[in-house]
Amino acid sequence: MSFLNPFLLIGLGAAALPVIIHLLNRKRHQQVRWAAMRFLKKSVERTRQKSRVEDLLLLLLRCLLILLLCLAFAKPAFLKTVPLNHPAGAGLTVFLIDNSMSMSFSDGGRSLFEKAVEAVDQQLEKLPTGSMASVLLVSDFAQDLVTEPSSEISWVRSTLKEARVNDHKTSLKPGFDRAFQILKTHGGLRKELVFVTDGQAEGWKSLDELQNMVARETDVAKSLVLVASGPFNNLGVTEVRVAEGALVAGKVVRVEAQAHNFGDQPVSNFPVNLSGEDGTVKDQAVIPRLDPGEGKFVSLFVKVPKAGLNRFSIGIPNDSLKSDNSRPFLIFARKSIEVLVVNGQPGAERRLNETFFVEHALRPINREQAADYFLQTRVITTEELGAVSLQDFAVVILANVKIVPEFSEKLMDFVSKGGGLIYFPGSNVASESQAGLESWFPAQYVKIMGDAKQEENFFRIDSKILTHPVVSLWKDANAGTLGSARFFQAYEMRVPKPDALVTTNNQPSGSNQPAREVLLFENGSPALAERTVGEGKVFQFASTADTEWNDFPVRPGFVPLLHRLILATVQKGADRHNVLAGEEYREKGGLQYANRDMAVTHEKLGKVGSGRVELAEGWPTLRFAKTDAVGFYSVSDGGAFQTSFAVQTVPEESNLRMLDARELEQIGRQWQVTRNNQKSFSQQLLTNPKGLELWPALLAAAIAVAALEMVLGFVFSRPK
Amino acid sequence: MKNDSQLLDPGVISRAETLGLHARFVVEGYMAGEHKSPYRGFAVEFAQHREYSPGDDLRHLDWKVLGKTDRFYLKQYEQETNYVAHILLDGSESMNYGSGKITKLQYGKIMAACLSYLILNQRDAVSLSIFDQGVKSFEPRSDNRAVIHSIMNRLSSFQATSAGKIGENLHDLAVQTKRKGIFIIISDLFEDEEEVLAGIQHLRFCKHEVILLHVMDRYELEFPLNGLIEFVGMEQAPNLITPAHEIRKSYLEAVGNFQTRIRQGCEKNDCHYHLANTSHPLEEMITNYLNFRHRTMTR
Repeated sequence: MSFLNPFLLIGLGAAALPVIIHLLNRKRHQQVRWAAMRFLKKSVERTRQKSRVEDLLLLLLRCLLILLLCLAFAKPAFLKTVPLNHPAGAGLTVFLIDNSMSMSFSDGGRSLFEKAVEAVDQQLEKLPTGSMASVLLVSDFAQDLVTEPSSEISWVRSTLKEARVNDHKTSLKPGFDRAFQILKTHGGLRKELVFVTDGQAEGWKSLDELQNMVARETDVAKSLVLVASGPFNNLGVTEVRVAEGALVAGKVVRVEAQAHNFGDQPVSNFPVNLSGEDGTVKDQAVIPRLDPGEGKFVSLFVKVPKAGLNRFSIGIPNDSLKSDNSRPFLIFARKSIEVLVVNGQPGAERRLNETFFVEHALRPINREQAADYFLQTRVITTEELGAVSLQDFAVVILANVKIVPEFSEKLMDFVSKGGGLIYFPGSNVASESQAGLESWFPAQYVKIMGDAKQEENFFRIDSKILTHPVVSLWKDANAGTLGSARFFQAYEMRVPKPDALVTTNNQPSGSNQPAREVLLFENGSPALAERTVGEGKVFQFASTADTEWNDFPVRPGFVPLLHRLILATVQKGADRHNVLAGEEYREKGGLQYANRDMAVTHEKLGKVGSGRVELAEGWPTLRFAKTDAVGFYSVSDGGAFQTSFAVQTVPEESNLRMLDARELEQIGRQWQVTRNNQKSFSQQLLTNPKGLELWPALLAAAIAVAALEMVLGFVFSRPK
Repeated sequence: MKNDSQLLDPGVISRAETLGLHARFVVEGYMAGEHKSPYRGFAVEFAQHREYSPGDDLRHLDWKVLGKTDRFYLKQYEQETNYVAHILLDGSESMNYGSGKITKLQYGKIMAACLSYLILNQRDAVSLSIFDQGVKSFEPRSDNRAVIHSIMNRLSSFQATSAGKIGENLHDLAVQTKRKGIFIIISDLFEDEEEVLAGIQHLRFCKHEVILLHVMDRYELEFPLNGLIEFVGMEQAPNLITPAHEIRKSYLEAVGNFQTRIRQGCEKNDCHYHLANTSHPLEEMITNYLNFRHRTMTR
């Protein structure tokens, strides 16, 4: 139980007043000489006992009346939270300000973040003398603004001006952790956590977990101040990806951009622009209508102008949340894509080679044009593998190649550093030969299905299940079908479940990402599986690359599928230049850059920090985690090393759905929830504290006691 | 203390003189022998004539004057002393109480002086005793009018200092007084009423007429006090602190019971009881009493 006006408890001492008055009155009496004492004595003897009881009763009632009044005015209450600016004395208040991207929402005036900072500033000003305050910022990480609680409130207020909003998503746990850690280290004080936020529902996704976390801190008063009162409309670009086309300089690529309507009103006829590095619009699409909660992809085409990193951005008309109205992205274009094709079963004739169809698929042009084609293919046999440096290629295609352990390690290193691997089985590959690959290959070959010699028995690819982006093209019936191919023999593949992944010592980082089925046979067995391994990607087929086990290589879908697989592996390599706000940017550099500091510059904010090239997974890697603002970043050591990356918004942060009444009610069980949109929230906290207040009952009791005292006083004072 | 002249209130004398204080019972006159009525048989002395008016008793008609002048004149007489009035004034300390300008003792003194004057003036004998534990001041009986000065001297010089014992004094006087007379007791009776009544009974047993003039202060009768009061006891009674208003009812009840017991005791002993409230004018009190007495005697 706590008191809202505890200083009034001093008045409890006034309960002694009736006793004092009683004693003083006993001394202050009139003196009268009296003759008829015998009658007085009789009367006094008769009434004394009764009078004493009555006097005592009245005295007790008067004392009780004062006690009740003092208690009532002190406003006792069983509060879940102690109000801010509680005059019970100075304490430690940790102010936690939400500075995630949604806080940059502005309805034309001040942004939500500016309102939040102002609200905290007001509270700091009103803190009782001797109070200590600390200020933290939270998005998806906790940022200390005033780490060490300070009683220099004016200094804390001036430091508050340095607070900046960022483009991170909202994840409250780190902020709460940090705040409670600070509060814990300063024992003995009245503790208070004030969290000022917009109340974006996304941040409270793990509501139960957060509530449990907060509930454990029983000695901390918690106040949640909401600076926004939605609902808000927001239209944002939530995803950009290269959907099609060779990532080679001078080639046109198809870019898919998703616009999402997070508001509660439909939006009609708005343009989606693809702009180049100079800001000129390269392509435009118009979305005729976007319903509330709906996201739509549009296709935009752009020619990649140069080899290396090319800057583009997808833009939609500006609204109140500007950060997600433009999504920057980088496309890494090569001069060409070097593909190493390993023929595991050379034939007597060229057409009998295991890789015959693959070679043709990778060079669907005249021999004269081959030199300029974006895919540069080199075909070798298994025996030649040892002499080849895999790092010279972007993609390796293994057709019917038995992977020996020493090669396995080399291959895994290649993939984990961003290389692509496409694997076809064959007669050389037995299920046992897969030993050692299970830690990083997408699937395990279990057993042979069907018989290549019995061509009357075949199975097809299930053309209805096309969820993977690589095969999404065939969702459109005009693009043909993959279901026409006949498979006479194939391996039954088992794609391990995410929780069944085996961890080994030589497992590359990132290899524990779950494998996915890309294509399925009609019997449900995977026909093609995919897995991201480190920076690279592996695609694993269930059947051969030639026509020995199937007729897929001669079907129309084979060439585009193979091209898409190559592009997907290469694109994965370029994806590292596009990171979400808050994610760490990693870039492998040459050994000569080890231990060197790189300056990181934002296109608008200027220099935002530096990253150091350090050994990571055995390779000098630049790591830069301060990806706070959306936009393009340049990295340079002042010399030859130059690269750049783009920071994009986290799609879910664009969703401005605010906490609904049910969620607020649940949060209110641990927090004192107030809004600062109408009157100052300190006033609200003082006038409307959460919990059960006892003063009305006490006041009623005091009135009852006063009435009883009056009645009894009247009755008792009648002549006896 | 009032001086001699102050003790004799002219108003009282002038209003009470015509009424006179007469004995209700047969008293032993030392000048005229035993008579049932003081108006018949006692020696009388001619005083003056007055003209007859219809209704006058023809026995007092002066036949000689009628024979000589043919006019109707009545003879008027001055009555001779035929009884002794013993005035007993309570001189206990409790009589010193007075809420107003006058204490009960002063009131009693004036009352005693006036009655003495009236009695002496109608040629009866008066004796005065002022007592507390015992008789402190005594004026022997006398019908000489000059004794009034001695009586007033005694009254004015008396100071009440100690508690009283009325009962014992009445018993002593009953034993000591041989001749029947009238005992006029002036007291607040603030002691055991049973003792007082026993004393009265003793006097009545000795064939004395007893008149009890109960002197009480208005505050003692009405108790109009409020608030917390320390009552300082007289006659060595311990002090008492109490909220006066709270015990008023109980006090008045006790006083009422006390008065009732005394009154009933007096009635039982055929003794005149008259309450003398010191807040009322003395002449009014004496006139009222003598009127009352006159009425009861002429019935």
